[in-house]
Amino acid sequence: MKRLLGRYGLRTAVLGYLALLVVVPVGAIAYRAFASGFVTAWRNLANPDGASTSGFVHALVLTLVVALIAVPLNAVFGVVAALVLARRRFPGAALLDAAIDLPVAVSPVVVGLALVLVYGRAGWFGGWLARQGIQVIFSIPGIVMASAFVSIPYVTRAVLPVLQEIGTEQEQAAATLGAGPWQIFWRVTLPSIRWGLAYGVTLTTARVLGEYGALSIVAGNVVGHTQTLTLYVGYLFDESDTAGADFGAFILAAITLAVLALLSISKAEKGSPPWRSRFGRSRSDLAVSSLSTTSP
Amino acid sequence: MRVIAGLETPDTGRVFIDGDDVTGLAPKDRGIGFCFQHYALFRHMTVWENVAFGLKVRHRPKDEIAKKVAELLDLVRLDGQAARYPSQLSGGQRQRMALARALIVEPRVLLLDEPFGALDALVSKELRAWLRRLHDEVHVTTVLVTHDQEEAMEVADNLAVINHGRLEQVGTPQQLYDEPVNDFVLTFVGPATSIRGEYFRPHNVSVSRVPAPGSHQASVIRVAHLGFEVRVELRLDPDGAGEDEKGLFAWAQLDRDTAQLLALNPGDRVHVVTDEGSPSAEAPARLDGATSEA
Repeated sequence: MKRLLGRYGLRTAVLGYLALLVVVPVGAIAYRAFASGFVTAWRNLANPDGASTSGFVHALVLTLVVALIAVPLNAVFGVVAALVLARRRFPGAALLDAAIDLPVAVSPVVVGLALVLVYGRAGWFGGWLARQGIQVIFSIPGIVMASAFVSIPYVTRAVLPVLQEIGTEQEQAAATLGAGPWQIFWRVTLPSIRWGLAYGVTLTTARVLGEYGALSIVAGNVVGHTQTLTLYVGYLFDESDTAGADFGAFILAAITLAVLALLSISKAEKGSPPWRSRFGRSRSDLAVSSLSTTSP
Repeated sequence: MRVIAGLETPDTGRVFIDGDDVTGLAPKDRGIGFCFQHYALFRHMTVWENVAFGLKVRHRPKDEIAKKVAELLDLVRLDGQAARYPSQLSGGQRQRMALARALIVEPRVLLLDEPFGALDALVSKELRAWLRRLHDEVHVTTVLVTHDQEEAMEVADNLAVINHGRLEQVGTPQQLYDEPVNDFVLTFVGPATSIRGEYFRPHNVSVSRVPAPGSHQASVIRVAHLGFEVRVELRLDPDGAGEDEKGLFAWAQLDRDTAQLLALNPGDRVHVVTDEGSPSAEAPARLDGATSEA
């Protein structure tokens, strides 16, 4: 009886915590967004002050474009960084390891200010870039850079423990069987880390979609021009357009949830996903569980 | 082993396979098959895909791959498990699959790194006999590393005893057993016991109730009945030459009938005689066979 109580007590505590912090507020957003029907909600959002629909649509498109550039960039960088950290011994490895965590360690506002300092019109490279006709700050390049900056660690942190866990034996076996370096990477290494990578990409995407602090400085927050969806929702909230903000927030949450769902589906389809593996813990379980800890 | 495979580069010396110097070649160009100690199976591939890997990376035609994979799976008796993942196989099945994967590229040399080390004793024994039969079927030069002397004696035509990176002796199992070049080989290959500083095979040590020329007085400590074999543990009487206590202990291997006739019990006084024709050598000042490889 006591054990039963202990078991259910723990579950209740965990679920209650999640419910109070996450489920209820997000649910409330969804409820508020559709409280007066979908059509009204859409009209509220698309036409907040009777102006045009372009603000929302533009923000949505910009957000997706930024994610489509920043996420693949960080996926490639993250895998390369993880490979370097896991497979090579070199002076400065510890420094690289620490530097990768820097973007989440500092406040996003600091990230934004730092980027302005370097790439702003009066910044170190900004003046030169401006003369070449490239505007970074208050423009798409700056938004992409800020988004990529704040989401750097996620792929590396998801992939690195998997790489360390699987070791190099499978790669060596592939080498003795006649595979070259590229074949080894595509046929052995990448499939081995795919769940870790998928998880890292999901987190990166979520982070990119949700970035506010750095973008609020770098993007300039011009409606219909440099406003991502998150900034747009914040803007609507500031304008006391709560109905629009609610619906925008709901769309934002829906996109992130869709990415998560996509990951789950692709996992369920390909091979044996971690939670279906009948024999022992699979690699990506380890990746997920060790993500919260810093590097070993 | 890893140097032969090209996974590590030697500090000195060169590697020849079939007379070709392969020292500078990458692993994939050496014509080797390597079975890792823990198999290093591709966990995200099925048994079929694992075995097919060596041909796939060589871009062989699909029907050729299918044919050869089927052949090899049949050879290692895994034809029913083709669609399974390595995690769904038993230890012995994994071992056989690793073998099939290495054999499919038709290597000039097959390298087996402690192939039975991770298996339980019974499965290991069964696989050993199977591997020996397989070897006679596929005819490929095989190098097998093991710490288990019995396994080496059973599977190999030629043995090389390596101690602390030094090659001690190369020969057939029989040569190593009967004509060991030194004490290390004698004590390492097969059982050995020391009597008054000299090593003998325990079956060359006999025990008697009556003294004989050159016999040593001893007391029986323990008699262990191991089926046909009876092991008699002895403590020799000190000969006053100041030998240490550990050096006084010895054991003899008797057959059951002899042991029955003698009717030995712990505490009995006996005379120990060593067979003249047995291999022996001066006991070294220091004996450390514990960290050696065969």
